[in-house]
Amino acid sequence: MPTTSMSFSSLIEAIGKDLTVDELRSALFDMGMELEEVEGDDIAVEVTAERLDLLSLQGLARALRSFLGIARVPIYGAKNSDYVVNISSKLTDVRPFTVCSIVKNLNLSDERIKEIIDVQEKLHSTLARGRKKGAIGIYPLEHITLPITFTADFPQNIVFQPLGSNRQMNGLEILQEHETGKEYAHLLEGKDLFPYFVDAANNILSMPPIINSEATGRVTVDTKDIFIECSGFDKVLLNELLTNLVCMFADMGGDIYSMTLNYEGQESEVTPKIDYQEKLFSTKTLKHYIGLDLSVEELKVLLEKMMYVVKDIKTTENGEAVFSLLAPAFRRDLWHEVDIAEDVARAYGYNNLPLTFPNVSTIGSTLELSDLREEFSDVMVGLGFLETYTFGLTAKSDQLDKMNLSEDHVGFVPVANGNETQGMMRISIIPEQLKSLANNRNQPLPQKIFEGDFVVLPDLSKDVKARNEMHLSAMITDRAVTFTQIKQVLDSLLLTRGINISIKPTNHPSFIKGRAGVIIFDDIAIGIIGELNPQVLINFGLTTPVAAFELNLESIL
Amino acid sequence: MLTNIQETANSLSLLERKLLPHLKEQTTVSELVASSGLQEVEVGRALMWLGNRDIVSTQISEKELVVLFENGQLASKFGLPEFRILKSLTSGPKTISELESDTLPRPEIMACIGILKSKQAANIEKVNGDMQLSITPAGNILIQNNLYEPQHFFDKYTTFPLDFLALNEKEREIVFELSKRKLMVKVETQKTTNVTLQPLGKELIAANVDFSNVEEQLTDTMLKDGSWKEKTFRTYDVRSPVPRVAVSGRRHPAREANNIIRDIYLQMGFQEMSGPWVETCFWCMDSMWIPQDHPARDVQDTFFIGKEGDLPNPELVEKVKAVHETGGNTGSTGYQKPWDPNLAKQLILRTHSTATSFRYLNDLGNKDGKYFYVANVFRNEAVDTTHLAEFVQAEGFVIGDNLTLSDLMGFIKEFYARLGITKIRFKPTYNPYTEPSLEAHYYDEKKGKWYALINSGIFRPESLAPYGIKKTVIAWGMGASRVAALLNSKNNLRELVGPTVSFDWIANHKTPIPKLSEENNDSASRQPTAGVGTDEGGDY
Repeated sequence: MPTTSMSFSSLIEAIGKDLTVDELRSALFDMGMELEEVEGDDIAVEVTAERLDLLSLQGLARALRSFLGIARVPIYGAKNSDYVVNISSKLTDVRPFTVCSIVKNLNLSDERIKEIIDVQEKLHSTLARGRKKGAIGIYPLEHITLPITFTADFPQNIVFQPLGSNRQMNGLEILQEHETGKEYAHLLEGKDLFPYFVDAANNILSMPPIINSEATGRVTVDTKDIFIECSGFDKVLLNELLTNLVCMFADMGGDIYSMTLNYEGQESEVTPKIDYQEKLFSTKTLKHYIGLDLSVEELKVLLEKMMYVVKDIKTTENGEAVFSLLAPAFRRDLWHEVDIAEDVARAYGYNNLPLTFPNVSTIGSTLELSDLREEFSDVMVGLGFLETYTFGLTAKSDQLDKMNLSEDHVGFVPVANGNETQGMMRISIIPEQLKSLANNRNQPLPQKIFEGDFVVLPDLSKDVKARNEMHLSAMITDRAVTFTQIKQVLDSLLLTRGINISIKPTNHPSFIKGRAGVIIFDDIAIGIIGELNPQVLINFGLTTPVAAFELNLESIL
Repeated sequence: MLTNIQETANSLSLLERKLLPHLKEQTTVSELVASSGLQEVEVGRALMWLGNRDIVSTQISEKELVVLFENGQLASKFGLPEFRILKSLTSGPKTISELESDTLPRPEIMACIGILKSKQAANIEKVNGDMQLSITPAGNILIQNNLYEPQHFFDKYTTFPLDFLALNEKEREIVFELSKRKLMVKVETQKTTNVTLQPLGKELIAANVDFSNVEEQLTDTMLKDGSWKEKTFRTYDVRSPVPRVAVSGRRHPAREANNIIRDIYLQMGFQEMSGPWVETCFWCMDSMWIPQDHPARDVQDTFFIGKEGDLPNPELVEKVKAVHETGGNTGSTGYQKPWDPNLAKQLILRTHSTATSFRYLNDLGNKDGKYFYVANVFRNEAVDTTHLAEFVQAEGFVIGDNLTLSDLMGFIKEFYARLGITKIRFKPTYNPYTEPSLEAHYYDEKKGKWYALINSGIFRPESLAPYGIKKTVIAWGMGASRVAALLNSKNNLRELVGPTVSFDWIANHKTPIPKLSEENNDSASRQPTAGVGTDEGGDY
């Protein structure tokens, strides 16, 4: 979950009520957040993943003001304007969309500027996935000549002095030489044309998603008016970014102005879209999910705590009430009525709800296969074996190479993006247990171990092209150990189920020639038994011989 | 009183019985070894047992003794070699060959020349290729007036070993000097174990007990021929410690912890589920309305097989698509983004066992039920002492009518109670497929801190709609690996599961019992990893 850091005293000032750290902690917890760290005046708050409006100090203060009943959420709106942004069709395959706004009459301080940069970074790293899905640009309007154009060109032709540099660079140089350029160069990989914002005086504002210009892209304490744009590939997401930002600027005292986006050859659009969303909410839904029966008055208070504006309440014949609500535009997590019911529960306090035990009467039951594993495990313990517990996700070198097996001749399920110890799913438990033996070489002999768990085998008949198979593996190591010793264990184990098996001699590269066999039950191969090949033992770093068997438990159910 | 003596006598072991006749009011271990013919270790053991019964008491005393070695013994018998040489020189000069004898070997003579020269008692010169010694006037005075002090020591003391501490200061000095000489004397610490007979021991000896009918072991022969009836069996001191036996077979502690959770679910009437470790993104994510751009689908968070699997029947896929894009008929807005079936086909290692829950829900439809699964899951994250790429989740769900948030919390309370936890609180949280969602924290009295172990929620209408489910489904899950770590007091998960676990620990571990509040450790500070909820790798 995302965590945001801020100054405790600034937050308290923005909330407008003197809270102690513990009072803040408790309010945050009830809202579903956690005060993670307090160090002097610095605090870190973990917010829930769907509420990005809480990442900024302004947004958090706004929600707390409402929750604590200090002030209702303000009505956000954008003033109409003639400001336009022209968007070139050259961007279609490069960076097709942008959403923009202008904010005026800001009173910025160094602290506020830091706050703005922090929020920008948080939004970039969370919702925008490291600028992959969208990038935010904020510019001082005093250096810009309107109207602004968003277009694309060959990188050699995009020349400006990027932030943090002392010279003019072209698009390619920025990606190769500038620190930020190098960091985000991958986002423009393979593009012939690079996107950029340019003003009416032909000053380049920025080259998204990389960097702003030093001349027109640095906000200072003298800045009163700003231009904000979010560019990318997904309008829903871009609007979400912009909404969060302009509402924050509104809370800082700025006036929001809309802009008309003139897409070349397409319909134009007006942003930001910060009008309230209309939502319906019924007491029926609340009763259904939360189990709460509240009066209309109580509910109204709770809804307002959660930043809803109650527009209208209708009561139906059967006593249910339906609320017409306005929800702030930055609440992008209200997909369904249940989300509002959940908000009411938060406002009521989860810990104030009664605890009941569900009236669903059922009879418990286990799966036959797990029962067999438990049953056989107990027999193995009785035979003097220790249970091991190894991993299913493991290394190709352990499962194949060290077992004298070749990747070309054995079917297995690979893992494409694991590290070298996570290259495949185990096809056998024996190699994993050999590792256990190797790690316990300093312990007294003999060592007798077993393990019952799944292996994963390729299976094209399944929708997932693989199947789990429950195996039981057992092995003995001692200064000398024989086939007979492990065969006795296998016989004793299977006789507890009245199963008589036969052994068919086999040549298996993991075992000593002439000392391995396939375990046959009802004419079906259900496992393997033998003395491990000395080369295999050496491969695993073992210094004593090992006799082992591995059994497919599913085939004897 | 007599019965008491008889009982004591019957409890004596063979060694004790053998030693008994040799005990005196005061004796020592070495004396007992000599008189009984037992070995010193046997006498020691018998004395320890006799001591435990207050038959004897033992005290160890230490002495500093002057002990003679080979040359010392010669000096004691014949006088110090330099003194003897000097004495013989009074009758005229002598060559080394003339001085040499069985009791005065050549190396000793050579050593003495140095001593005599340093005292200016003798001169040495070469005569006919041999060394010749002659006495000086100072040497004559030494002999005539008997002034050579080291010799006084041997004249005075003739019995060795000698109590060093009983010597006067000058004598101690001489011993110290002599101890520098080869094989002469040494001061040794000698321990003596003194044995004192106690009143009970005296009575026992006085009673003159007959041991002939006391048997050490009951044998099959005695049982067969009935002779056991006439025998008295030695009574044991059943309080004495015995050597530890090596444990051979034992269940694995983590598996025991898994089974504790499994048993709790079974006691509460749940049915066990099972599902594949390799999953399609469809069942792991899309089926339950996790958006397609959710970070859990990133390669940094999830293991990909690099191949595609099959989607279920087209009608179901169509319903899932609709609910993602527009909310379908649920009244939801949906995500308002296109849903790509190709992303849903990707094969991954399941990141949570909820994938299996939705396979079951698809088959179940609108039937009441309770299901659970203690399941391996996989996350592509950095592995360290508290994070594994493969770990165990335990999740359960209840499907029924009129189930609410209160029911969910009530169930969790009951579940925690069965793990021995009663102080809990609930925190609202966010999961993409449950609403409301909550974390259940418990209070660790020892640490004075809250920890989250359970994550839970009510499945969203969007997640259930494709399966035609009208009932309510409440679900929760917990990090079973963490519970196993807590129950077994292991901070380092690599000491708990995997091939690095020590056999000695598996064999000798304390069986985990469901009482989390008693035993705790820091691994609980890890954020919850529950079957329900994607709080790990779930940052949106």
